[in-house]
Amino acid sequence: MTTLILALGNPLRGDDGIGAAVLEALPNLPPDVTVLDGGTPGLDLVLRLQGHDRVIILDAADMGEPPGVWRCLTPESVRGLDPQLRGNLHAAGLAEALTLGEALGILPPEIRILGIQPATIDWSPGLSPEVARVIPEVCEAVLRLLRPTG
Amino acid sequence: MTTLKVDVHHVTRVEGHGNIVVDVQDGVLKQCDLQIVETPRFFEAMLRGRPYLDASHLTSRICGICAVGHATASLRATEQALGVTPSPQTTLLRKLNFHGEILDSHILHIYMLVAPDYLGVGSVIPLAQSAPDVVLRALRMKQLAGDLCAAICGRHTHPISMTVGGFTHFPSLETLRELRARLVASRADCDATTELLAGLEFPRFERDTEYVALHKGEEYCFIDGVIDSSDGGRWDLEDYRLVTNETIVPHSSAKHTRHQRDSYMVGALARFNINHDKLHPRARAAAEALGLAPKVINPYLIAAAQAVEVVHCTEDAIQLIDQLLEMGIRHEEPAAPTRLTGEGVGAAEVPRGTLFHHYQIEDGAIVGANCIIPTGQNLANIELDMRALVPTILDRSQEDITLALEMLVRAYDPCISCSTHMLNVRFV
Repeated sequence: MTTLILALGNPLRGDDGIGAAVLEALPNLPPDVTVLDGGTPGLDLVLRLQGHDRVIILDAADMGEPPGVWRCLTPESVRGLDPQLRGNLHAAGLAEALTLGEALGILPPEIRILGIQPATIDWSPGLSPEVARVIPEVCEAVLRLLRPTG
Repeated sequence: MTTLKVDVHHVTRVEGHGNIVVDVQDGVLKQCDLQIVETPRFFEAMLRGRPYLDASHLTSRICGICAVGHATASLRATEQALGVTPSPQTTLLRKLNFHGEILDSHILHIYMLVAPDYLGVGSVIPLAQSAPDVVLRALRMKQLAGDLCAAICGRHTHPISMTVGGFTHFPSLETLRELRARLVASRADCDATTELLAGLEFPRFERDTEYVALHKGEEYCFIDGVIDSSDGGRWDLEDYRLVTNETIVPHSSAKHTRHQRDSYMVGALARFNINHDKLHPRARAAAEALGLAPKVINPYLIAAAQAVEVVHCTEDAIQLIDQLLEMGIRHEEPAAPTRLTGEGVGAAEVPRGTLFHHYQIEDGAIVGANCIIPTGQNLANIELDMRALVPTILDRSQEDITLALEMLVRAYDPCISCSTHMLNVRFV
C-alpha cells in the first residue's frame, strides 16, 4: 500500500505554510510513503493524487474556528463548496480538484484531509504562534493515520 | 440596447479578482473599465536584503502556473548582474524545462478555461461528465508537461533544482528517452487539440494593436533575446522600461503599460505574429489548419495561437532531448559568479507574455528589484478591446454582452494575482 503525504499552500502567505511546516517536522517514514510539498498546484492536484492507494493532505482550511484548531476531514466534506467550479480556476483549490477527480472517477480510494485553521494568510512568510504551536499534534495525527489500525 | 449597465463582480475562470464595469447611456459608452481589486503583492519588498541565491526560489512562488517562468527570468537577471555565463547544457535544459511549463499552462487555458464557453457548458466539471475523453486528454497532456518539468527541476509547481549558473540535479538519459517517447506519442493529442479548436466558432472581432514579444535569431524565442515590436523597432532587455512605460490608472490596483500606441499585446498571439516564421513546420501546419496567418488581430484567437505553440513546444522538446542525448548529461557544477555586485535584467516569454525581472545586487544581497508581469502589460489592451467591442454588440441581450466581454477577458488568460502589481465584470 503506497501513501502520499501532500502539503498544500504557499509558505510566503503566513499560515498557508502550515502544511509544509508539518512535513518538515515529520520523522523518517517508511519507504512506501511519499512526501510532497505541493505548493499551490491548482487543478494539477488531481494528477498529483493519482497512483497512490492512500493520500493524506495537509492544508490550511478556513473552518470558522479559532486559529490552530485542526480537523481530519473527508473528501465528501470538502467537495461541493463550488460544485460548478465557477470560481477561480487557476487558483482552483482542493475542493475543485476533488470535484473534477470525482467526476472523472480517478481519485485514490482513500483520502484524508488534515485541515488547520489559519490566523492569517496575508503575504508575509512565517506562521502565527497559534498555528505553529499545533505542529507536533498534527504530526502525531499523520503518524496515527499511517498506522495499519489508523 | 441604448442604455446598458454591466457589472461583473469577480470574473470567473481567471486568476485573481477583477471586475468588468460597462456603462452605456443613450447609445454612448460612458465607462468601460477592467478593475483590478487584488491586493498588490509585495515580492519586490520581500526580495530586498535577501541573498541572491534566494531570489529565484522566492519569485517562483509568485505564481503556481508560471513558477518555472519566474524562476528562469529571475536567474537570468541575477546571472546578468553577477557576470555568470551558464553552460550550453544548462541553456538546453532550461529551454526544455520551459516548454514543459508552456505546455502545461496552455492546456489548462485551452481545455479548462476557454473550451467550456465555446462548448456551451458552464465549466470543466459538466464537460468532464459530458465529454470525459476530452478532459482526460487534457489531463494526460498536463501530466506529461508536469513530468517533463519534474525530471529537470524536481517538480513543476515551484521548482527546486534551478539555480544561479545551472542545476543542482540532472535527469538520467533513461528518463530523457522515456520522455521523448511520450512526447512523440502525444502528437496524436496535439493534433486532437488543433482539431478541437478548429471546430470552435470564435467571435469575429478584430482590432489591430501593437504586438510585443522577445526575438532571438532563428529560434521561436522564449528566453533572452531582444524586445521586438510589430510596429517596428528592437530594444535591448536592459531598456525594457522604454517599452513598458508603466503608469498608474485610478480604477485599477495594477499598473498599465503603453508603448508606440495606447496599448500593446503580449502573449501567444503576439509571439505568433512576430516569430511565426521560426515555428516548427508541424506548428506552422497547425496554424494553417486553424486559419491563422500573421498578423492575426482577433484577440479571441489567442487560444488558437496557444494550440500552435503546444505543437511547437512538443516538437522542439523532442529536438532538445535529441541534442541532450547526443551530448550526454554531465553532472556539472553551476557556473560561478564573477562579481557579487551588479545590476541585471532577465526576460522570458512565459505563457501569458513577456516577463521582466530586474535586480540590483550589492555584496551578494538584493538591494533593488522590479518585476513586470505579462498580464499587467495586457490590461490596457484588454480595456481598449472592450471599448471597441461593446458598441458593436449593443443589439444583443445584456446576458450575451456580458458573456462576450468575459470571454474576451478570459481569452487573454489573465493572471490577476500576479499582475498586481488584475479582474471581476461589473456592468453598472
